[in-house]
Amino acid sequence: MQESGDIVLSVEGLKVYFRSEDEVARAVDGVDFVVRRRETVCLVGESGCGKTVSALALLGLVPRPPGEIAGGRVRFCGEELLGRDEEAWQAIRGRRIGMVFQEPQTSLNPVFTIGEQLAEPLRVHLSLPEPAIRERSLQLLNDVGIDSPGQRLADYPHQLSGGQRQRVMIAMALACGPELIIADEPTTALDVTVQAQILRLINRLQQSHGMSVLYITHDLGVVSQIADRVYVMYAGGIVETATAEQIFRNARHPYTRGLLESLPSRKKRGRRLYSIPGAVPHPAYKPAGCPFHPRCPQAVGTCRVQVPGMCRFEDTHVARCPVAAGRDAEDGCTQRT
Amino acid sequence: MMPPSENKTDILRIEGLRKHFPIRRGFFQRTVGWVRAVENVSLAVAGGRTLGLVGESGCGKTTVARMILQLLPADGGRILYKGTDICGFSDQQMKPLRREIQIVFQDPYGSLNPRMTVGQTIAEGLRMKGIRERRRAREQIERLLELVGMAPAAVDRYPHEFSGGQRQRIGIARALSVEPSLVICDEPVSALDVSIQAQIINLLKDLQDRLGLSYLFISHDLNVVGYLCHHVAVMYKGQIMEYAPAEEMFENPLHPYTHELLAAVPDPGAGKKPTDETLESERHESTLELPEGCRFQSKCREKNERCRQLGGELAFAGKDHFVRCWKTKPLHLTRPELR
Repeated sequence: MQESGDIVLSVEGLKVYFRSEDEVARAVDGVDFVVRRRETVCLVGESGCGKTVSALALLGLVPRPPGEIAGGRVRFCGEELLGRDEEAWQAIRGRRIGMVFQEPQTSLNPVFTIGEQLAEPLRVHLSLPEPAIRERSLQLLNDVGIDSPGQRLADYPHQLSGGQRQRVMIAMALACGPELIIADEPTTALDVTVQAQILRLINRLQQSHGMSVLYITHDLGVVSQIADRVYVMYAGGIVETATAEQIFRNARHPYTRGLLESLPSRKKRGRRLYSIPGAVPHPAYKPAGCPFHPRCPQAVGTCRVQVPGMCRFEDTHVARCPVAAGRDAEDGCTQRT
Repeated sequence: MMPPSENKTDILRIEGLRKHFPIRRGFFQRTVGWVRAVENVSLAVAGGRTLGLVGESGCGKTTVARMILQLLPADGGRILYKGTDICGFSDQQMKPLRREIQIVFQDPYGSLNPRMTVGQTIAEGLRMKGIRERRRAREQIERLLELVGMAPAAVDRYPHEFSGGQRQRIGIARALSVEPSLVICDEPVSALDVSIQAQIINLLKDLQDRLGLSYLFISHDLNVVGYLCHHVAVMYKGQIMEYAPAEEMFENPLHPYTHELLAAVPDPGAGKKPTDETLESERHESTLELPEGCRFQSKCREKNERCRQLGGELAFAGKDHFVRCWKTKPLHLTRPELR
């Protein structure tokens, strides 16, 4: 473990529940992770695993009701974030933590120009005078690779391509020089060639600005292009964490292994693709024990009753599967009930 | 124009297909220009095989599919289904062909009628085939559900009771209910989660093996295309840029756009790419105005002055391999350009 001064974001036992009349959806159910300085961390999982809800919780954006933070701690640069009032959130959100969302079409306001939208965080958070705002806006557009930025400032979002809009979103996230950027599937709606450019841009900015990036995606191909470390989520919990290299070389959790094996590629031509049987459980009706056990080829008796603990495989490589570790849950694995 | 070499086993051949959409402006909606959405597209799908049609969004892939189904009239060219040109067929003439050519859509949520049970949805196709007797229809529906890996009990349930992957199976069962020969798959797995994608891809493959189906597989995911397709056509701004057998396309791509597409394909396990020194900027360009000559020239790393004049021709580049780039075939420089 590196010293705590290095940690930008630390999340411990985060729980986010959504209540309706007759059920409680435990969308995020005890999630722990850390993001260190100058590090890109990927939160990867399928739809409904709780990755986006986790990100919203970090930003104080979980809609209440029906949502509710049911427990846990979120510390950003040593400060506790949960339980703050809206005003305190606004001092952090957009200023010290930047956000990039999936659909640049819908997250930019169609009735304001790019220039007006870029100016807003600079005016609100940094109280810059107008000439400085324009100068900084041009600089930001330049940083994210938008050509002739002077003309683009007067454009409306619909006049830009999807890739350019996402670049503008990134420029807005960068506007106040944040310590952390949270990016939720920023390239999912883009074409592959544009996606590759945006990923290279994020890598580049992360290094030049010395930021940390929390990148949320379902796409393991994207993970391999951008991540230093990876957390794999399933049914509201972290099931495995390791460096990107360890995940792709030697994934340990049967879910992660299944995901990797089920990826199609031309190298697998002629062979049948592995597919994980069944489907992701509904967050209100998760199976007892390990939530993955009904789909797991390696499940044993205890998996059905006991929530497995995290087992250490290598330094920096931990997975919630005592079976893969060849041990009982009590032996060497921290148990969580 | 040089279409893919003729072959007797081709179930579908498209030759020089064209679609231009008018751009209308002003109070009287006068036509002020044309979007050349599909320009001189030629393709062939061999019987029992899969042709992958790849390209970025807006390149015209889906427009081609809609023209094949006669949901959109073509402005030029021929669509030969089993040797017969179906361009301009009336609804009456298309009716028997609608049984032969089916489509599976991308969005499993929007493509099923929420007010019809799974059984009713599939029974519509069976009625077209003339199966009206209730018990026989039910038997057929259960057989179809089994074929796509679903429990017969699904018959009386509604689409909202199923997950995305299951709905896609229902969509496939509906397409198969009329016993088609050709199935157009328009991004059938893009909306699905990774673990479900593999199930549907395996299903499509099994069905091809068992029923001898031919697929036109439209996708932007080259990993899926590389796994599933026998031939691949790469489309860019309404034109086919390259056409080749899948192996050949991946091993020996010739068009600069194909190179770029392949380089952008995420390869899990390849590792974090080092950041290059130069910042790539994205050029601002109108989607309506196309340059003279090669349509890819503004993004091409290898372009030069010639690309403004040349580039209109799909040229032979080896066995079953065609490419629309004059650089790969310097011999063609001396030939007059064919449009």
